[in-house]
Formats: sequence, structure tokens, C-alpha cells
Amino acid sequence: MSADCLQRIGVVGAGTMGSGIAQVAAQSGFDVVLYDIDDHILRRATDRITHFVRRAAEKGRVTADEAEAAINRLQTTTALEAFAGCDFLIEAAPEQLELKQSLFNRLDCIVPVHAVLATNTSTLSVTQIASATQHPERVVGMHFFNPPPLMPLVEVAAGAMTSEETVHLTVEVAKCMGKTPVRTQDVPGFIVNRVARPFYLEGLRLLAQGVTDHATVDRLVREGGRFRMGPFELMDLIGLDINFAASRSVYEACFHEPRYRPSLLQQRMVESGRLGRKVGRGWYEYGGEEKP
Amino acid sequence: MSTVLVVGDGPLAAEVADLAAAAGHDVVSFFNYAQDIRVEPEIELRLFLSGLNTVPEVAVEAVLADRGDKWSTVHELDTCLPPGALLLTATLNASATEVAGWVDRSDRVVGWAGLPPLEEATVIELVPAIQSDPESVEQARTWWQSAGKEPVPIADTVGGVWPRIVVNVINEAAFALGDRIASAEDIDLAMRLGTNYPRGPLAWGDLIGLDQVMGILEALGEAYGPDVYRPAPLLRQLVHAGLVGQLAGRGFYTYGEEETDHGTP
Repeated sequence: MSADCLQRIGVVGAGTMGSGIAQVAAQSGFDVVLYDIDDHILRRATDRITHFVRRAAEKGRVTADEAEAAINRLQTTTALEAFAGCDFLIEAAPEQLELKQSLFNRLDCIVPVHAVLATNTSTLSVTQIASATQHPERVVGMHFFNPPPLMPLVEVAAGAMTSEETVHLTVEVAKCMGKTPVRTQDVPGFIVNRVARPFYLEGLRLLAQGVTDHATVDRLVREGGRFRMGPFELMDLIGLDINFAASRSVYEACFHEPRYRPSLLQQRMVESGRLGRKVGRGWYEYGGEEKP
Repeated sequence: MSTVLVVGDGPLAAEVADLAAAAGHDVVSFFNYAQDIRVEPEIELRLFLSGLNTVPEVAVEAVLADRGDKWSTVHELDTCLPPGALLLTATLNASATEVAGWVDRSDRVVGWAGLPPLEEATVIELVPAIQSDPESVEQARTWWQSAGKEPVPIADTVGGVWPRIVVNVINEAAFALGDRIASAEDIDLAMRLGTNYPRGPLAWGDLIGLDQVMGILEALGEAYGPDVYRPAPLLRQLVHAGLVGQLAGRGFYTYGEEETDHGTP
């Protein structure tokens, strides 16, 4: 089947990523079924999506009719059985292997035989998730970036058993959603979270070695390398705990490859609760005192 | 403005020469690119220096691919330049302190670090050696200001700060390409769109010169441990083949008529 004749997209999980993906799908003309176990989370997601879509209309990016049509294309459910009519499923549940495996095992029996089961995992193995189903050839990685409505990239990751047809269809669906897909193998961190590791780790090593302070590293990376943000301000934005977990997961999944070794300095920052912007304090102080 | 001698083996040196010339300095340059056929470069450099009809007050060195070549270049500069001349060494593949230890004019050596495209950078990293005379550091600072870059002092280290981060990202991208995780185009696209990098790491490596990137990584390995800074096998292979990037017409990508040819084996 091709992406054009695909009508209905299911999204599993209504957190930040799931609701963002559901919004993008609805705005791209797909009928969307958004699932979560928690009705409260679903209501909050619907409110958020409605707010963002109407705001896009207020700013003139879409017409008011288009915005209302997108909102009407969204339905929510707390029953996985509602996915019975979906041709394409995107799972954005919490990053826990057993949870995802159990979801995929159940979804495999619910969705039509032609449907694709995509996971938005950023750190787990697509192959391992696929192994919980009877049809691993239709399981694929579809990694959106946060926030999905704004970030153009989607990494399409082929697991060891994923069929070329599944990868191809996922690439087409990403394009239909207005995204730029790249194809990647099922390796820890895929492309971005793997190739970006040294950006943070090397910054942390420079700091640990006393070459200069974190603010100077950021400044040199911005004004010398012309990056939009330096490694320390970016860690503060992402959350030091999240960034540290990503480093750890790539390190462990790559059998302790030395160049991915996480930073003790960063671990101490996480342990001390300085997690970044979300708590008002990380490498920099936020709130009353803005960072330099 | 003063007479500046620029000696190097890649695009970084060429950029420094352009920068200095644009700032109104008299520039003499001696470039020795990896893909040129070289016959005892230090003898060529000696002949070149003896043939100069102006005396450089400042020499900027950026020999990055080979530490042996860097040593002979710096040694030759020390022998041939007037005693007062300032020697600004790129600390990308040797610390300023190590280079200062190679020469008699240790107090006149001051390090610096940056990478192409230098024209987009507003800052340059200023790296005093343990042996640097404070007056030399001050002159180095003034010289970089005159070339339009704001000097930011950092402690002496191999690889500088932002160049060290960038070459490691390039190396990681070279591992990813060599391991066939994705195509060169998709790796570069992913890093630009997924995490807002100003350019794709593979295209950036081609711009800097892959021999230069590998020279920096090997020096980092020597200084801080080869397990972390091991150059990717594909990077090594391309350098062995002389496919060092844009300057050679081919690196991770092929350049020329079709700019975006599918790169590598």
C-alpha cells in the first residue's frame, strides 16, 4: 500500500511526544486515534492540540476552517481495540522495554494485517521491540524530535527484521506529515543521538581537565564554531538527567565503547539536582538571574 | 602593518593568510598540501625563507597533518627567522608548551586554535605556553585583534576548545558512515535538522581537510588516550588514499561537476 491511500493513523501515548505527533498527523490530513491509559492525560493532550492548532489559525498559517477540520479529525481513546481500523501506528509510550514489548504484542493482534507498527523510541532497540510480535517485518523505528510540530527531522530506523516495504512506507508517511525523513540502521542512538555524543562528552572533558569554564566553552562553540548553542546551555535545555541517561544508554548498549564513556562531572550535577532549566538551575542559574 | 609569514599544510593556514592580507598585513605564505608531491619540505622551506626580501615579524604556523612535519617546520622557522620574531603555533596537534620546548625562542611562542571556516568565527582561542613571555602573549593578542578576531584565552591543551569538540563530532560521523548506519547525505542532514548544527559534520570534515582532522585526533589520542580519540577506519582510509576533502576534489563527498555525488565506499 502507499501513503496516499492511508487514512487513519493511531498514536499510542499522549505525553509531549505523542500529542505532538498526533497534532502533526491531524494537521496533515490524517484521521487520528490517540490512545492513553489515562483519560486525564488525554483531555490535557486534546486541549493542548486544540490550543496550538487554533493559534496557528490566529497567526494566519492555516485558515480557521482547516484548523477546525484538523481538530475534528482527532479522536481519543483508552481502549487499544480502537486501533482496529488504523493503517499506521506510532507508539510514543514511556521508554521502558517491557512496556513497549507488551504494547506491541497486543497491538500486533489488534491492527489489520497490512498495518505498520512504528515506535518513536530514541534509545531502545527496534529489533528487540519487534521480537515481541508475530510480524517483526512490519515494525520500524520512527523517531521524531521534540517538539514534533516544530522539528523537521524524522529518523526512520530499520530493525534487523524490518521489510524494505515497511521502511519505504514509513518514509512516505513522514513526508506526508511534512517532515524530512532520514534512513538509519537500528543502532543505539540512531544517527543524531550517537553522532552528537562527543558534542557533550568532549565539552565535559574540557571542563574536567580545567581547560576553561563552561560559559567559555559555550561562547567559543557559538562564536567560533557558529553553533546555535554550546554543549552546556544545550544540556540545560534538554535536562541534565535526560542527557546523562542518553550518554549512559549509548555507552552501555555499545558494550562500554570508551569514547562514549559518560562524565562523572555530569553525574554529580544530576545527583545534586541541578537538572537544568526545568528546575531553574543547571550549569547556569535561571529565573531571577538570567544566564550571561 | 607588519610582515607576516604563514606556513601550513591545509585550508586553515590558507584562511589565516587571507585573513591577515584582508586586514592589511604584508603576507608571505608557504603552503605544503598533503596531495602535493613533497621533496624534503624543510629544505624547501629553508630556501623559501632565505629568498624572502622582507623580514617577517610574526610567523603563524598551522602544520596539522603530521607532527614530524610540524617539528621540522617550527625548527626551521626558529633557525631562519630573526630572534625577535613572534611564533604563533596552532595548538591543534601539539600543545603550545610542547612546541615552545622544541625551539630556542621559547618565550616568543604563543599558541592559538580555530578551524575553517575561520571567516565565520568572531573569536580565536589564545593559548599561552608555560614558557611564553607575557609581552609575547600581549603581542599575540594584538595581532589577532588586528586580523579581526577577538582572542579568548584558554589553558594550554592539544586541540583547543571548539576545534576539539568539532573534530570529535566529525570522527563520530565518520564511524557512523563507515559502519553503514546511514548515507553521508542523511548523516549530515540529520545533524543539521535534528540538532541544529551549522553544517553537516562530514561536509565540515571535507572543508577542514581529512588529513588535518586525523592529525588532530591522533595528537589528542597521544595526549589523552588513544581509545577515546581513535580515528574512524574510514577516515584513515580516505587519508591514506589522498582523498582529503574539498581540496583534493574528494573526501566523504565528491566535488567538481556534481557537487553532491554519493560519497564513499
